[in-house]
Amino acid sequence: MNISWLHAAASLGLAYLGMLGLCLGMARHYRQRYHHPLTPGRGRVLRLAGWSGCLLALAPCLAGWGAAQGVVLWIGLLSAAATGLVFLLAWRPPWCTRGGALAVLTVLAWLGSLAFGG
Amino acid sequence: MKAPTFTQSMSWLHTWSGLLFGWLLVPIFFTGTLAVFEPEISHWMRPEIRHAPAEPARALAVAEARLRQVGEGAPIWRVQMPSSRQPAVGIVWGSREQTREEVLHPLSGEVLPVRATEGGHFFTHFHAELDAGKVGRAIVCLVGLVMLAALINGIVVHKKIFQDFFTFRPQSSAQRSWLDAHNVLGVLGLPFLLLITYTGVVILVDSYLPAATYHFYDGKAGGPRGDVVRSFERRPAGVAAPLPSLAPLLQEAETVLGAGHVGWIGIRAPGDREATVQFMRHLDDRLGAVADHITFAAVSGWELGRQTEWNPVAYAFRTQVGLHLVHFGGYPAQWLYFLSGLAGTAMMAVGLVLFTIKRRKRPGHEFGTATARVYGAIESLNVATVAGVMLASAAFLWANRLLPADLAERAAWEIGAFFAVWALTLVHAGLRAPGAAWRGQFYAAGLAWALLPLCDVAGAPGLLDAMRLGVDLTALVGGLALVYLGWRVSRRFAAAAAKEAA
Amino acid sequence: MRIYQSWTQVLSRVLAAGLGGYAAAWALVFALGGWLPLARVSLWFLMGQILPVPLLLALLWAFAASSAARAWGWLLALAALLAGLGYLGKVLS
Repeated sequence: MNISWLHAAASLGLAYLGMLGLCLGMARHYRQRYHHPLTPGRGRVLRLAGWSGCLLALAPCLAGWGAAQGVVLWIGLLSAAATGLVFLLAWRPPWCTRGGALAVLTVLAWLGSLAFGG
Repeated sequence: MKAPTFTQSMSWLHTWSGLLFGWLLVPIFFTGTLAVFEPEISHWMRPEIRHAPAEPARALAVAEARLRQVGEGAPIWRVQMPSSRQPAVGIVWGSREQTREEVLHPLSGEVLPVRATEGGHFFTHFHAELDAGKVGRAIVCLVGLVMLAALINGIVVHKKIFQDFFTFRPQSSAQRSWLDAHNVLGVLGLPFLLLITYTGVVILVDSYLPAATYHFYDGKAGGPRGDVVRSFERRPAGVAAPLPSLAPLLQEAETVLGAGHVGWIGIRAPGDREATVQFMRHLDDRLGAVADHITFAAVSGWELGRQTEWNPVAYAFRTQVGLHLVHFGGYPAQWLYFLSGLAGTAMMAVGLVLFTIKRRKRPGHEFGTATARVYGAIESLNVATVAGVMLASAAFLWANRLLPADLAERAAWEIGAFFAVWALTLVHAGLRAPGAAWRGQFYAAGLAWALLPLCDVAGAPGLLDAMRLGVDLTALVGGLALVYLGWRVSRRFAAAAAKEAA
Repeated sequence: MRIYQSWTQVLSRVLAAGLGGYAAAWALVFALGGWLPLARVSLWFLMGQILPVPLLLALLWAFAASSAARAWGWLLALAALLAGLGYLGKVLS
């Protein structure tokens, strides 16, 4: 039961990073966070990273719940991550990237558990 | 007058069906959200049960011992096996017309003096039926259909759905920020909202439009299930034969259904020569809400039949049911649905408030001279259906601790507390100005939920197990959030009043 | 902004959605039951899964149609057509 929380957290982290990429890859939200305009090149990189993160978030869900339940949870976690991001961005823009750092740590913890614990 | 465009008509439909049906949808959605944790709430409402690590063989042994004691001569015995979310053993005995039940400690077999309560099942029941039987189910189905339409026409109306995907501007004007919140919660929650609403309607559609039952089964309600679930029952012979121990049968059943996966056991005609024992699998680990089962002849121990394969169309249907009931996935899935449900409730509540906020600035005169009074009624209904139902739900739990354990009909009294408090919130909302009503009811609901842990311990002293603690902590956090909402609301209304006075 | 001419128009559309849509969906079950080569148990569980769609479409149509009369007209025509198909299927089987 406990390991499934780590899978869920990792998926949520990847989903958050993905949504963060998609969000900051939009000019208006990049400006909201960084107060200067978004260059097209950076925008493309962010959006690509964003889509990748969202897709990769499926992996921990598959690991924890298999195909059918995993897909259901993945979609739900994508929504949850996006919702959290929107409210962070609206009320405390700097925190949304700090949240990203936390997400990275969570994913690393999950990868670590796969490598050493299994 | 020109015919309205598609967008105009969809916008109109979204606004007015959202308002009218929103008053039913918010309570249905909120109680449905609570119903995710029905087992935990039921456990909280029966504090006589202490969590104990249960083991199937032991659980069956204590159940069997007690049933042999009290169930002599009863044609039906049932055992509900303990699980991580339902720690005690439940036994039922009797006939089809009348049954008696008891709750046993899963290790010692002691009969627990559990108070009569509908438990968390009340929230599920209200959510699915508005506590009104078949008519209630038809109403909830209709409400669900209107919600599906509102989701679709909401998408149609939301022109900038992709540009505004992450857009929420709380610092903007009231109308802008409330609309942003409604849109964001709606769009980001769309997969969950579509899934939960569609599957909910699927579950109930036969109550609303029983065409399939009439055309294919001549109106017989149990017909479809009877065709899908195979039965291996035997007619009682009328000849007495002692019932052997059920333990070996449990072992055999677990080889087919999986160790620790037996959820329910049904014994027919115990003490008869043709007694049968059926083992049913629990639903916790698959999407499809389908219980594989295996039946044995009790006296000989021979297997009479098993079912692990299902009609694929029926299985698909039960998968839709399973996606709605979320028995699968463990606690991460439960919490995901719970938080998604709260977000959906918030989305609809924000929509209701948005309706009034838009019209405070620019009245629409939709009702001629009565418009102002109608708006007042709408404001009151908004408060009662959002904050009021949250307060009433807390009152249900408070009643569980405050009412004496041996009160006659106490289950009905608890439910009565829910409806009585809800009715009072409607009266309160009708009498007070909107700002005062919202503030007062959010504060009341917030306090009722935040103080639930105190109520828990005061009403049922003793060590808290993890599930009761979980309910208490969630209630505390939720209650504090509601108190915070009440404070924000009172500041908003005070600021608006100051601006008007200036 | 008033987009429907009067409250009677609105009421008519509501009834079209409720009654007309109901009739059309009922007729759809009848029609599919007559033509789909499935066992009745499969048909029952199939209907449950798909019925929200026609009911939803009828509701949207009742308000999207350019007039209440059109809303009624098309829904009842659909109901009649499907009922006819259903009878045909029953007769032929």
